[in-house]
Amino acid sequence: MNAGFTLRTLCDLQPGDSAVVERIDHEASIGQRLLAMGLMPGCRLRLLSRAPFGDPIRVELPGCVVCLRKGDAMNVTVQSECQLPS
Amino acid sequence: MSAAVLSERRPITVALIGNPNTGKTTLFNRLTGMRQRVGNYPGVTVMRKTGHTEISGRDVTVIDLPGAYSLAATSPDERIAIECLQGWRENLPDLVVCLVDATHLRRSLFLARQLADLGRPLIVALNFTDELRSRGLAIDVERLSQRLGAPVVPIAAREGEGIERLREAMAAAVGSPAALEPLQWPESIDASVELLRGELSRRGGESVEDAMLRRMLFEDDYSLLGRLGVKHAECAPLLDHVRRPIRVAGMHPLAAEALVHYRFIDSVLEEVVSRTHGAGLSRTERIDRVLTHRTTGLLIFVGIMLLVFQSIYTFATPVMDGIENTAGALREWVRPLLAGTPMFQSLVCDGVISGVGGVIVFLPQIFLLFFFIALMEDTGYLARTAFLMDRLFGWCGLNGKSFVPLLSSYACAVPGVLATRTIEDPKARLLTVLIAPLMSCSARLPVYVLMIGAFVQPVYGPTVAALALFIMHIVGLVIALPAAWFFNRKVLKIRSQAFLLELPPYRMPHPKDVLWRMWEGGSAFLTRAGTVILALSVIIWALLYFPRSPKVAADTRHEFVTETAAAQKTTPAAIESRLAAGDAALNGGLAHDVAGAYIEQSVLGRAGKAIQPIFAPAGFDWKITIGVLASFPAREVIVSTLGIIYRLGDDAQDDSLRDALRKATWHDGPYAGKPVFTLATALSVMIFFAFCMQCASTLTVIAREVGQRWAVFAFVYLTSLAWIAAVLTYQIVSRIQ
Repeated sequence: MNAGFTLRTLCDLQPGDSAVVERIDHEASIGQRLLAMGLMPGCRLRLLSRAPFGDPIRVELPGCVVCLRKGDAMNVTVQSECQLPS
Repeated sequence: MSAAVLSERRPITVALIGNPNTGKTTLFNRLTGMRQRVGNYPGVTVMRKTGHTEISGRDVTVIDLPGAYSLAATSPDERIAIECLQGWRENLPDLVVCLVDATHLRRSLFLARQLADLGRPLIVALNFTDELRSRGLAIDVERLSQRLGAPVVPIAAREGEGIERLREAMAAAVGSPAALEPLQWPESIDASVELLRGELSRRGGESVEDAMLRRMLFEDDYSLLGRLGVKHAECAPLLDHVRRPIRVAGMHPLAAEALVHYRFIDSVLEEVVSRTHGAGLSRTERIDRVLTHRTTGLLIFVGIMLLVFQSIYTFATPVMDGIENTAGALREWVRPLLAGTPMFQSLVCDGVISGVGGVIVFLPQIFLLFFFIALMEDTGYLARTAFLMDRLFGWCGLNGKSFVPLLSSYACAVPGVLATRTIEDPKARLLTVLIAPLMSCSARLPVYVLMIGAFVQPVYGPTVAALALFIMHIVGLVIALPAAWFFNRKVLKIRSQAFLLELPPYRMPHPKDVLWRMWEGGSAFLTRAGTVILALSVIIWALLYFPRSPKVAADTRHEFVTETAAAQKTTPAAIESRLAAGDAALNGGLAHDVAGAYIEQSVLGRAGKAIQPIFAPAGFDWKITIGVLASFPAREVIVSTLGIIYRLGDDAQDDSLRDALRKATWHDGPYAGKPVFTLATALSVMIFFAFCMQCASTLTVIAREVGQRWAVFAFVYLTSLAWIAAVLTYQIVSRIQ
């Protein structure tokens, strides 16, 4: 792993964070669906916001915006740039 | 073959397929106009629409397949698409039209690519081309068509642009069905396909196209293998073996298809799409910052819902009153015309006109509800309401899309059940349908008004009465969510789907589509529910009408005359002569008595008396029991039935019915002489009506939408729940009092 990058799941991101997909659990049904929508390792995504009760989350994928539950989002591992003060 | 097809002049079958939110319904309506039929696929509960049109003189059947992102199935419902495209469920389609969203080209082309692999004649219809410029995008349609190897027709379905061009392309494609060039697959995948073919032929199965073999390789769904006679237990080891070359090449078998297709798609997009100017924060995202915001989003949502339901009530009420008055006037106009044949008169007036009138009266509400749902769906707001509400419903197996149907059910469960069509997850949809009848619909109001008015308000005052009315309206919802949780865990054997919902860009709805949806919702309700309701009304009428021996009338008349004479301290003969002279009050009283006696003697009346012991623990006497039985087709019937049984007018507002209920006493049994209606009985009756499935329209619509099996299930569980809750209420309250 490169210094300055950390591995997290999609549901750990904060609103406004963008990240690069590292791995998707293909066995999970959400993995199959995200894959069909064109989300695969190397794609950039961004957490836009959370719903009023904290779940689900709104995520910008390449070319569309989707909402998904945090439980499902845990199947997506992302590599995000550390939020270090520049 | 093409010449043979042309000369045959047989009807053409076209399958229409595309991602959700690509305007598929709009295109379907533009292609087929009014000539559509809605049905369910046998075995699964997926809406199936077929429509007819004519292209260069030939009859064309258009099959509208459910919206999907992929041909891969994660639920039995999604299996439909491939089964249909293979001709297993309908005629083998002569042509596949794949609708592609030009503004989401990358994602849309995945399905197009999967379809191209099947090798059937394919046309790509490129929708929303009118929106490209404002988004700063341009698409080289000709180059796209070359790269895909299939004709690409730019259209704007909402505005009706390009539809003629699409028809011409369809005619050309059917006239000379050029097979698509086979897709190029990596060697590892071809090797796996060969392995699988070898394994299957070793087992002596029929030969299968490469494309279908690839579908089996790329999915963990065993139904396709099962079709070829491979036993379920053998599927996993078989697939594990034949997928080895894919794995050796470093690909996850379930991801291989997407990797290959998207590699191709990304290379196509580089050539075909050009950005004319930079895109800042999109208009949709700016709107979403407000409409999906934690506080403002929620407040606006509540506001919109209040507005929707307020307007449904405000606008629908006058029309509903109008329909009711018209039905009443019609009944009174017909009644004297048929006076010569009393039985036929009663059948037409009390059975047909009242029964059908009782159904049509919901029509204004249904039209309005579908108007608002169409507005919300076509603008893209419905997806946002699902995002906002998902947390509230997710824990019990429902999802955010259940909210609008449940709220609609407060007006009437019929449009509520129809509104569940917007829920794609079959499990969440079925759960929503099962609990929708628990929402307190407007037909329960007369029962509550009667009972609370007679037994709560006089004793506890208007504040407690209002509170009681409010509680009656939320008790159903309080029971519904745990019930959904229970069904989700214990009863439904459907696999839950991940909740992945696209939030489409906000768009201006087209009036034509909104009107179309209103018409579709309303006419479906009228034709299907209407015919069944008519039949049921006639049956219930007959059960309440027969047997009709003249002896009953004579006996009742005798009893009436004797009792009235005793009460008025005069002779029976004097009463008889006043009756003969046409004394209005006396004749009216006699008519009520005779009507009541006939009901008591009818098949349903006797049944009510016979099964009264079942309802005794809930405090119901035989009169209430008859009322309960008679109101299974439509719950509001209880008020008029009680009115007839208690030999009074049939108006809930009529004080005399309340008085009669208060004065009613048990004739025999342990409580003889005591009042039938106590607070406990009144509450138990209300609770029974709050839970019970007493609505033939709802049952019919449930059967139509999710299958007869589930309609029976809903009926049994709701009726048992109602009985248990009524017994508990009666037993507890009568002990406290």
